[in-house]
Amino acid sequence: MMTENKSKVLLCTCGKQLGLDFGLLEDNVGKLKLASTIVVHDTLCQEQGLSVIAESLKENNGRVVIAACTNQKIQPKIDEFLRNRGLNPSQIQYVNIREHCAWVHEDVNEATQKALDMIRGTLARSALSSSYETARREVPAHVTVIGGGIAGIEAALSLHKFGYDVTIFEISDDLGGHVAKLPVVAPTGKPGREILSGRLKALENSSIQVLTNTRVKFIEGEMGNFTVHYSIESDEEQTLTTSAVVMATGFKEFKPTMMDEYRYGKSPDVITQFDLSQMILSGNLKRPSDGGDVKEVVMVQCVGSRSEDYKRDCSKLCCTFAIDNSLEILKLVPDAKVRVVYMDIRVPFENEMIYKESREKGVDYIRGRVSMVWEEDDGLHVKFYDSLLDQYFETTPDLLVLSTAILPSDSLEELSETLGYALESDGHIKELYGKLRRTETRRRGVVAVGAVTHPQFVFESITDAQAGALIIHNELQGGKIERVARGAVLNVDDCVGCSLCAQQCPRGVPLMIEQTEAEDEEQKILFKASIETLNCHSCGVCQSLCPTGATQLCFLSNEQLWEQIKATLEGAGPDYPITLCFYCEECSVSTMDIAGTRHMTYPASTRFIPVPCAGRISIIDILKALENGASTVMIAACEKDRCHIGGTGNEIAQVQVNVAREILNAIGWKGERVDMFRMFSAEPERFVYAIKIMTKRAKELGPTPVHQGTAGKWVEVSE
Amino acid sequence: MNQAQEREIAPKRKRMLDMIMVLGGLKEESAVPLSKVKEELQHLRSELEPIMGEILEFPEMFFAEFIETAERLSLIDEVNDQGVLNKAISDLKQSLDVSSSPSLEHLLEHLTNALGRFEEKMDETEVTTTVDFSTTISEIPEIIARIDEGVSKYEIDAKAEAEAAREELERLVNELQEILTEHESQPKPPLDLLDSFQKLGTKTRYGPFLRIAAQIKRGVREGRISEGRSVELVSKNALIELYRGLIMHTLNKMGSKTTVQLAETLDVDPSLIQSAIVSMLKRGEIEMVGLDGDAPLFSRVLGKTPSTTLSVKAIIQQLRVIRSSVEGEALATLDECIKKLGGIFGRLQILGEYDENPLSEPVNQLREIVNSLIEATMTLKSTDDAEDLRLLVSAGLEAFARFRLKITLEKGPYLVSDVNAYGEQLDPERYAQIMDSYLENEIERSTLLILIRELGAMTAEDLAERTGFPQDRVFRHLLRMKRDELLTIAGERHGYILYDVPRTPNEAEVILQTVTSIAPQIANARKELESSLKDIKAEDIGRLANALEVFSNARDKMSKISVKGVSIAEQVLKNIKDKIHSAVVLAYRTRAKLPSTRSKVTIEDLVDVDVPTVLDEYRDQMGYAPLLGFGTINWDHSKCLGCKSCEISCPEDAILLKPIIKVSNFFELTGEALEKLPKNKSLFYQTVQNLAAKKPIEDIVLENDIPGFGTIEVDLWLCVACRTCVRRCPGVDEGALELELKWSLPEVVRHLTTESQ
Amino acid sequence: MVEVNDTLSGPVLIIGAGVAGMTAAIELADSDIKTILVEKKQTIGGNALELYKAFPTDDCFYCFEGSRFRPGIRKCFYRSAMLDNPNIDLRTNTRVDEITGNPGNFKVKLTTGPMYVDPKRCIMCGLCLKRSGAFSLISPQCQPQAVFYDPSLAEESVKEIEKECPTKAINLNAQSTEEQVEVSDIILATGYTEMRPVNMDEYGYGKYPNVITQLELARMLDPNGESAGALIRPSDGAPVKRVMMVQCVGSRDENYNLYCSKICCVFALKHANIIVNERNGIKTTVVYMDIRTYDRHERYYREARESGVRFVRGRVHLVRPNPDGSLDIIVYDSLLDRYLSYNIDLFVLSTALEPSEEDETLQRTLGLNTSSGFVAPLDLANDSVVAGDHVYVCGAAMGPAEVPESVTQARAVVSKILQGRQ
Repeated sequence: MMTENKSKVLLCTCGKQLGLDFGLLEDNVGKLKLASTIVVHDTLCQEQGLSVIAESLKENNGRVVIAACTNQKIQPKIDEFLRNRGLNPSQIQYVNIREHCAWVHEDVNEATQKALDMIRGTLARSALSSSYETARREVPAHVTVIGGGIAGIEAALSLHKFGYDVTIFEISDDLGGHVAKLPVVAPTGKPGREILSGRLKALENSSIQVLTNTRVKFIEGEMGNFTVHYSIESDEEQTLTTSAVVMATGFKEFKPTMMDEYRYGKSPDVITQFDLSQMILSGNLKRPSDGGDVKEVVMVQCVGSRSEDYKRDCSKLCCTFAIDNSLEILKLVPDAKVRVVYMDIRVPFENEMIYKESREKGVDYIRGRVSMVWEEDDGLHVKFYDSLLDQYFETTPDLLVLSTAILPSDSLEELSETLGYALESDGHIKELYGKLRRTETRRRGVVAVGAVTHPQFVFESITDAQAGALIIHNELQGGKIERVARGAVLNVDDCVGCSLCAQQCPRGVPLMIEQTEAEDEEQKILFKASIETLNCHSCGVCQSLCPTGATQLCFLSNEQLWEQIKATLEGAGPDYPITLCFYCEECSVSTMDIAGTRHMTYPASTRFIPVPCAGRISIIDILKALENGASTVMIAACEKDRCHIGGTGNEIAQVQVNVAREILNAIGWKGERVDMFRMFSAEPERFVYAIKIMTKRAKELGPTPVHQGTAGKWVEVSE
Repeated sequence: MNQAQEREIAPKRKRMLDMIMVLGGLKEESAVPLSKVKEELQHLRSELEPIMGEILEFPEMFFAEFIETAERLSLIDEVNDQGVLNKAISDLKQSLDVSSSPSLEHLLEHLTNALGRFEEKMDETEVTTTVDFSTTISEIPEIIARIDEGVSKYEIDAKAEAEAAREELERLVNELQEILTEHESQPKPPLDLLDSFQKLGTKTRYGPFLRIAAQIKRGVREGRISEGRSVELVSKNALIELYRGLIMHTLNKMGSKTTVQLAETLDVDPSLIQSAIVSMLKRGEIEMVGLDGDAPLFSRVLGKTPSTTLSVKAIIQQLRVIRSSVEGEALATLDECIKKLGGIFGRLQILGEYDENPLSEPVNQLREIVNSLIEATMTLKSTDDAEDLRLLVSAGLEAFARFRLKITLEKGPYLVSDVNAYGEQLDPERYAQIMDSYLENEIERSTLLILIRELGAMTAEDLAERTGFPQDRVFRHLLRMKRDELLTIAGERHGYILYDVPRTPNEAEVILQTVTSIAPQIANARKELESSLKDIKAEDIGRLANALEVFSNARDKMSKISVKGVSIAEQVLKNIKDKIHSAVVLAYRTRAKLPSTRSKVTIEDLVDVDVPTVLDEYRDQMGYAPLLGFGTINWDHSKCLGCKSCEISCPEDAILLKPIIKVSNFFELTGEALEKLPKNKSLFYQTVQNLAAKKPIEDIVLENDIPGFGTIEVDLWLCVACRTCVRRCPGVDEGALELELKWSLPEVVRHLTTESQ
Repeated sequence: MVEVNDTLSGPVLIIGAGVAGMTAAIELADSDIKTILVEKKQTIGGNALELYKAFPTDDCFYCFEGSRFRPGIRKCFYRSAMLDNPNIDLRTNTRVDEITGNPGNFKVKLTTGPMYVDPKRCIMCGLCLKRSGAFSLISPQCQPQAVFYDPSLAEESVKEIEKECPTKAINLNAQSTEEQVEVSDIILATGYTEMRPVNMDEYGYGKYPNVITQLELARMLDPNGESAGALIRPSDGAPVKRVMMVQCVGSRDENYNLYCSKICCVFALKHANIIVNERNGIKTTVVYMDIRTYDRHERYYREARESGVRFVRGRVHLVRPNPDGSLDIIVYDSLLDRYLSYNIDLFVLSTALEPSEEDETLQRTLGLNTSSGFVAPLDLANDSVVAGDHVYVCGAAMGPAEVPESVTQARAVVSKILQGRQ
């Protein structure tokens, strides 16, 4: 259905420096059906240019195509300028004729033809575009914090200060978690209780609701509308509606009962660091076996961590913890003999001075491993190997203290099924993005603070909690969410309830809601999806998988993309084989822009179509491109599990590409015509290398069955 | 993320399928290929040839020597049980029909004339008995007096024992009181109270108390029993069990007691004792053994009631029978004896367990006399055609005697009081009805008993034929009498169980029985061996092996027989021993090597299980048709969206969306099917068809899952046909899946056989 | 607990536009709070700009905070539009001279170097770049996306270029300017500087050209760098065959820095992995006392061992140059208790990470605590990011810190400021 919505085209010569034939371009674009008027301007991104854009928004109810440099740089400036003037920039489409055309192709005609084709495609896309506004959503200003350790308390206090009412669920019967049990907290030197006291007092005289020994069973719903099912002291189940969830369940100390070489659990004198800190805290440092006083202590580092079978990584805290405890022991028993058997002592920044101080106070550090632990009538025997002196030593310590690994707390696994956050291979909660978004999880509105993501020092957990509070505040905006409604919109009647979108969405936004309460055996179990556009990250994965087209991105519907493919590939034939490249507007566009900025060159027989994420490309789009005459189709996507938007958009695109290749091979085409490449903006050569391969294949593989006219003739062939 | 690992079949289902496999002979033993079978048989024949002669001969030698020794030591005369004689004769007849054997004929001859002598003796006794009828009766009182004196000696010992146990019991009771009073004053936590109870409880060694104490402790420890609940449990339930333990202790130590006496000794109010007694009765731990005045006496249920008590009981019944055919002065003494014996019996029951030896000698003597009296009364009136009538009459008498005794002992005291032990009201005509049916049953039972005692071990079938009662009622009577220890099982014939009166056959009878029972088996086996040895065929290897085994068992039995210490054909049996064993082993080994000759079911001729008919049969028998959990899910690719909702919703993990794309199906989609498909799905198929330059044949197989594509695979052996996937499938119209109520057994078996290879 | 309760809504001054400073600026801007972002260099990004691949995620360092203005998890520097963000007043090439006034109402004197090219106007059309060497692009990812003019290379053609520039962005005789601004809060995000171990003569840094620091190595490995990613010897440009790295140069050392610089082990092993895996297997040896790859960074240590990096626990005894430009290094191996000698082309020092030089003056003027030169929080037990009344600190200014830590601390600072203004 070809609509007649025309759009205004603005061409920018970038200060007359662009190597394109603007004269030819202007009249060819003029001939296009969908172009209403054309304006050529030198500096659209400067003051006058912006007012020209503002003017042109008035006609064709806001449909404008701007052919200039990369939209990544100018779009924010234009949006800001138009929004200040109360105009809606949502229907402006951009074509990059600088970094993607002029700067990378020597031959001016080819570059101009490429620019023309891309403008024609964008006009077709703009013809079907629909505008979208900022939307508002009222949600209860309430946040649930799961876990009452230092991180949970700090997050609750910060959120309370932001004006939210908060409920804390704590599984044991008092707050404070592990910090409460620490005799001394590095590097402050103060006991854990003291650090907590200020916060606990603040907690009392605030309206934060604290529910102790409650267990959270499961949580349903999405940001703004979570229902938490919990039970207090294992009687019946209660529910609580909340808008956001803070996971602060902390960590669990590994009890090495299975490692029988240390005889933990078998002989009472073998204890863990936390047991030792309890003894120090209570003041009676006595041998658990017979209450004798402690003269000699042996500490063993890395028990369970940095080992293949329990925890592969380092637990970071145990070295500092061991050194603090050894100093405390020396305070209680000045002439005690403390030995620490270690592989690497890892004490960050200022704790190094404490390590130095402990060495001066006579704590003996042995680089080696414990070889045997056994009991005899005169007490515990420990034999260890010192790698520096290359000798075995044997002592009979009063205490053998194991610095055991820090493992994730227990209930994470089962809660992840319903709340939807992903888990790391070692069981901790997987961060949304390891470098910049360490406290956020895969689900919007669910934040993981403190040791639940990875082992953290006390003051690190405090900063983590405050950061988590800010992120929740940014999301909920005090309960009145206001955001540009740029995302997937679901048309409920088309939805058949196949749950593909809910299964595959990288951020777990769609929820499946059971419609009919099936009483008898015969009735159909009908589900319907529900997508909250404000929670959506607009990657388009659900749109590419939806069999009925019920869910569409508001700024790029299926028809828009198909029309754009059709218009871009108009006149594509065997003599000038075209490579159509879908590129994601995250890592791929930046790799292409950097390649442009560095004036790297590659063949011009390529046409580019931008999509929000590679996951948006469905197998139909690939086949449509080939149907409209493309010789090869290429998808440029982010690196493996580096997908900006949420994680699996590029993997789903890879699957679609694999299936497309297999189907093409089966129906008489060449599978190599379709391929996918991973971009990484620090290495622009990747894009140039990919383009060279695909254009070479376009030439070598020759005309496609579509060009030869044999496509669709499978009926006669098979008789 | 496909399910790489193979899912385990549910264990119950696996066992069921294994059974099917074995029954169908589908599980192959390690069989020798067909060509080698002939060779195996030849090898077996060559092995057996030399030793076969001796094996066939040795039974005959044994019988010959047996007959010779039997005559020498006049074994046959010692047999005085007619039943054994009859059985032996019928066995010998049977074996002689099969194969002739001179020594067996000789033995048969002996037995028949022994039987003849037996009948005459019966007649003489009949004539002679009338004379000493009254004299024998007169001997009875003297014996009864001796028994009476023995019993009263027992009672004295029991009393002395009771006294000794009394103060030990007192100490237990005081201790308990102490605990309870102290608990009243300042209550201890439940577990400590329980410990103190336990100190007492272990002395009484009463099982239920110890069990409940342990359960409460574990419950509290594991947090299942809350604080409040445990207090109540200890103070009420545990205490009752403790009292029961004390009751048992008293009954053990101090003999049977009435409720009132128990209440005194344990100084607890009688109502608590009464409820304890009722539950212990229900549990079958104690029983009512008699009356003390009109109050029932209870004693511990004896593991095995002493045989002398039983025989006294039997004697009383027999005396009742004799009483009817005696008059005048003898009758008076008889009545006197019956009354005295009844008293003795009551006291014996109250005593419960006691040392039988001193008492058994006079009791046996009494039994002989009474038996001879019974015989006398029988022959007195016996005429040929009245034989059955006689039986019926004596059976009736016997039934009546036993019936009256039962009533007086068990139901008596309750009949008097309006409420019986279980608190029910026994209305008169209901009671009358019980009495009639009871009487009738008793008569039938006694007839059967007499027949068996007279004619030897009989099966339900023979008895029904003789007495004309319906076989199932006969069967029920036999069972009842067996439970009442009136009958025992004495082997089986043609698949029916032989019932026999508990005879204590003497040594001679035992020997005769074993020898005559061996004879027919040996005869049949011999015939079998001779016929199959000529040319051994694969099918009859099984029968050959069995026959050889019969011979070897017979040899073992024969070697155990010795007449009055003289063993028979010992040397012959010894040197045949290893020969026969090697023959048996050889036969079995070849049998195992041959492919099972049973006609094997092949997978082809297995047929699909038609579930509806099975359901109907089930419904007729059981009245309801449960969901049998069998069915096949059919998948229609043209309606499938590849959305995996079925796999997610299936409770049994039986349905899987495999990453295999059947591309050829894309081209079978007609216009109409395409219309019905959702928009994008049909557009996809159309685009593929537009692009296709040739029609693909084979499928595309990928490793990991593809959202939106795939082929459905259902594990028949896991699917329980619950239709959840059918109802959940969002496919076109009613969905891509539908459940068909048939279950392809061949496919399941093929899977299992391939899996086991 | 320092109770920050005045409702002043003045702008916030952020000193240093590294990862921490930028994150703080973006988060404040998203919450509609005016910020002044001061950066002494020409472009923002701080150390991150030169580090090519970032740990722990092994993707490019140019990636940084997306904002409500630019939705998405992260965006590259070049398109972060810091310049166009209405709430951020970006001042590059600017220094903080003097801070007076009292908390909540500071008066700050800023001097900005001569802005020969106005970043708001320059559209990078490439005219000046083509015509004269004086104009150059610091890095394709630089933000603000503007050309850099180096007056020292000026030729006469520069005058016409100034006239022809389509947007009149060039002003050749620009002067440095001074300005006094009033701010309510100050955030210190000055980051760290890598110590140049010039005066540690046992390593010969500065004397022998083939002795470089980890940052210089990172620069060399960066495809966008001068050597476009190839490992060459600084002395003669020959390709490198054997590399040796030494840990804890200048840290954990009485006469230089007592503390442990925490992250130099991690990025040393990251570079070792890149060299061995992606630069066709150049032999690499690492001399260390303790390998301190915390938490999940243990992965780098595992990968290094698996891909054939050799580890020697010991100390460097002697560095001797050879005429052909290679270096002979004598190392004492404490496990074998013997001396080993290696002949290598490139000798990389993992030097200590020290506070940047302005920290010392800032601490004095604002009266902040210091911990071995870095800015210390007022009371670590209560708040790890509050350095004083209305003064906050985040990122490597508090001590060597990974990128995720700096970002989290920046967010914590913004959260404290917002809580103060709620």
